[in-house]
Amino acid sequence: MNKKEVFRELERRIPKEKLAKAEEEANSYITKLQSEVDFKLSLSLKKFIEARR
Amino acid sequence: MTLKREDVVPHLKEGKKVDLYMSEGKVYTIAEFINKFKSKVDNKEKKILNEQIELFEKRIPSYLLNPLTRSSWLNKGNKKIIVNRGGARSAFWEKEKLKLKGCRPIKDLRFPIEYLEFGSTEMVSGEINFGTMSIEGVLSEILAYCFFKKFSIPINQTPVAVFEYTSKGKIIGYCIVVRTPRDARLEKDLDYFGLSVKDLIKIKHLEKKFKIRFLNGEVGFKGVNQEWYSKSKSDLLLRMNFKGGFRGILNSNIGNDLEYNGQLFITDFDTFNVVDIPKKPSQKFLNNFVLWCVVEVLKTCPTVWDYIDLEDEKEAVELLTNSFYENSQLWKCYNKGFMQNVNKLNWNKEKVNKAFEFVKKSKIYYEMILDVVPNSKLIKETYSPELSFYMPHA
Repeated sequence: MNKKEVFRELERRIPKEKLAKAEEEANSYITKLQSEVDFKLSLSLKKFIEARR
Repeated sequence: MTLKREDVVPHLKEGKKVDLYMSEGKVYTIAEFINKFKSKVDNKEKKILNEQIELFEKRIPSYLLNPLTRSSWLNKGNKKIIVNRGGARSAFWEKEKLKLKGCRPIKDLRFPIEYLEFGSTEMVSGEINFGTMSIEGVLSEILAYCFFKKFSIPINQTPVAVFEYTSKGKIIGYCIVVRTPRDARLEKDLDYFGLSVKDLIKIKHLEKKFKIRFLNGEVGFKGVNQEWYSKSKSDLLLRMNFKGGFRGILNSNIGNDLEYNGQLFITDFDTFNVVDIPKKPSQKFLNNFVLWCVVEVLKTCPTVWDYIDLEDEKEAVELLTNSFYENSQLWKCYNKGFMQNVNKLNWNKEKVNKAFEFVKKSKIYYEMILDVVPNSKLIKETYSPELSFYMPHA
């Protein structure tokens, strides 16, 4: 799977009418978290996890 | 001597190919090295080294008669050999199937290390010279080989020689040379689906909100059967641990897993050591034993697919543990095998369970599990990844 397929598959399982609001909540959480973090949360997960080793 | 992240990190940015030069110094056979330095290990470890000493080659191959190094400032000849980089301080000479570990002396630069003493629940930080190995580190690598051979545990590297580097007549570090058919690590195939940290947080938010189980389990490797991996790795760790062998925190890294001819191996043993396993272990021994087992499994586990917001740290251990137990295939296999060994050895199960409870309350358990289950605390405490000390193998 690639990123696009992951999101497509996830979104397929969520009622369309509720998706936008839920995404908004997630984005708002991420924005708040970003303000407390020293690196960009758009960093690849692979790089983040390697950096922790 | 310095220990500044900014000083060390530039030395970690290297390509996949490096040069090897001839250096000043001395070359030992493995037996010579053991005989000269075995007073530095305890009696049970000395016994293992002595028992297996005949396994080692008696002569040094002609192409290793001079110490080889990645450090051009030590170059004393005209020849250079182009080889694969390996890790930050190692090289893999594909043609001869030789790995040189600790072949990169750098003047006045230190590297951080962390370790846990048997009997302690807190990690200790220290530092070592950057780029080379200590006598103790080399002995641990040799000890691990002897230990694996003694107990017929698969190992895919054989120590061949030790380089002792000198500069202006002064010893500046050691390098162990091991013969190994392959040094490519499985780590490069870890499959994160191209997701970012942000993507993971979003996915987990949506999953939890709509009670969907979608991205779960642990991060897998491309082209590797996860069940095979978990089973093979837990089997290796259990065989090692229940004979008293432990790699230590630094060596227990998923970056040290490799596959060769359909078999899984663990590598990197410069912090390896052996503890005596009593027939009827006390509660105190079990606490320490279980702690070491759990800490090493946590340190070597693939990350699990989860994200936990740790607003309330009181519940943190419970939340992280629940996620880990539910998602980590490696843990499930290891834990099952662990209890089978406990039954076989007829250890007191009540005491063993108490030991697991003891471990869960320890500071080091919390520190270790924070890194296995992605969470808000971990993200907030992570320094800029550009300043990471970790360098994956080439």
